Amino acid sequence: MSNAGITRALSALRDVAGVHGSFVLRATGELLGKDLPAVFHDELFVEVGARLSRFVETMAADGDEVSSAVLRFDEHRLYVTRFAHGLLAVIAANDINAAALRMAVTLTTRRIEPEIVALLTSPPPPVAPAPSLTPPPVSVAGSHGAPRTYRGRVLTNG
Amino acid sequence: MPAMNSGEESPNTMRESGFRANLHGASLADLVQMECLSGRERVIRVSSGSDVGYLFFRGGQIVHAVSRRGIGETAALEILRWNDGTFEPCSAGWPDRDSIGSNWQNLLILSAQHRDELKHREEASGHNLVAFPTARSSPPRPLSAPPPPVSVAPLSTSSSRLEASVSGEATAPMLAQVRAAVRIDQSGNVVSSKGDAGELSQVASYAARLAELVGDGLGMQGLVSVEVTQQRSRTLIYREKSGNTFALSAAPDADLSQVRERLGL
Repeated sequence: MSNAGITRALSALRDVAGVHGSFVLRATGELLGKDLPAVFHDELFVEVGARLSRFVETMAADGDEVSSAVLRFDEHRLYVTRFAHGLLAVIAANDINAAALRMAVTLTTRRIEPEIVALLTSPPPPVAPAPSLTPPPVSVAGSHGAPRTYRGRVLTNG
Repeated sequence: MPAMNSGEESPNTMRESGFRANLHGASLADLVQMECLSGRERVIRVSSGSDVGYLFFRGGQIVHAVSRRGIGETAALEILRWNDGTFEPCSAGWPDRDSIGSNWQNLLILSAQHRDELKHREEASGHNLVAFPTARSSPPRPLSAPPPPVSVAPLSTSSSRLEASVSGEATAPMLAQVRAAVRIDQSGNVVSSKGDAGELSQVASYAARLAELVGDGLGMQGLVSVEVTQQRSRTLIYREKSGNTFALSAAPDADLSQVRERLGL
């Protein structure tokens, strides 16, 4: 699935009133896709992703894996759901219908998870053939390929 | 908790307009909750046996407390653990500064935990103390009846007066599933704890900070709480207005709705 595909899948979460947007991270924190207003630019997620990943890692420090988390702030909530290869995070208003959101998150996760797995395990794109490593023919040329001369006359071996 | 009598009017009892109450069977937690919900600013003198303490209420919170053994949260928790006595307004002088930052719900939760811890210690040490009858407790059992089941959870509050007074008996099973609880100040020092809270304090401190930073990055200010569902547990981290962090770890199937309600989440 392309980033556009992930974005399309995430946009379904906006059907739940109060959802401002969402994003998907690898378990290690790299951004895989997002459905958020433009103000949330990709660079922002370098730190946010890494910290959210560390947050999940911290909570699972004793081996008790995190399934989900809700971070409540003054006016917003961040719902985080962990799946096999990453994290789905939803930014929502405080008065959101949590039950509806849970259902929507379950469906969205189910939809994007195999695609993300495919994305993460797909082979790298083909690359152009490497230039030939065959060495140039040996000649009597000098160090820079030009014939060796002495006082205007070309020198030959022997 | 046994009857709470207004008792004889003490010399420093305030005289003010309104009804005088003589409530028998009310718990201290009931009265504290009533006082907080009224939002009034006044001082309440609480006495229990030879102990006397003062709770200062303002804006729906306990903002200061004094007992013979201390002031602030320590005193409030000491007073809230008393089982019986009197509860009456008085005209004690107000301090220059408030000494309590925690909200009253947290204070009640902590006092319930202390009470249960004490109860478990007594049970573990083989003491066979008979609980006083309380307003909401079950009727006395006949001597031949089997003893009530005792929860093995370290934080069981099945008999706690506190949670019953705050939100009904349904709270007791919830708190029975709490495994550990801890309050940490802004410097990371453990202010109080319950159960095996050593690792919880570290995890909660760091996780709360990370959550705060994640919020900052996304433009979400003012971390209120973090609730994490894990395979073998549930963790609730609550940032108090004072800046302290309160965290509890519970069984995975624990219903934390009562705690959320108390914390205003």
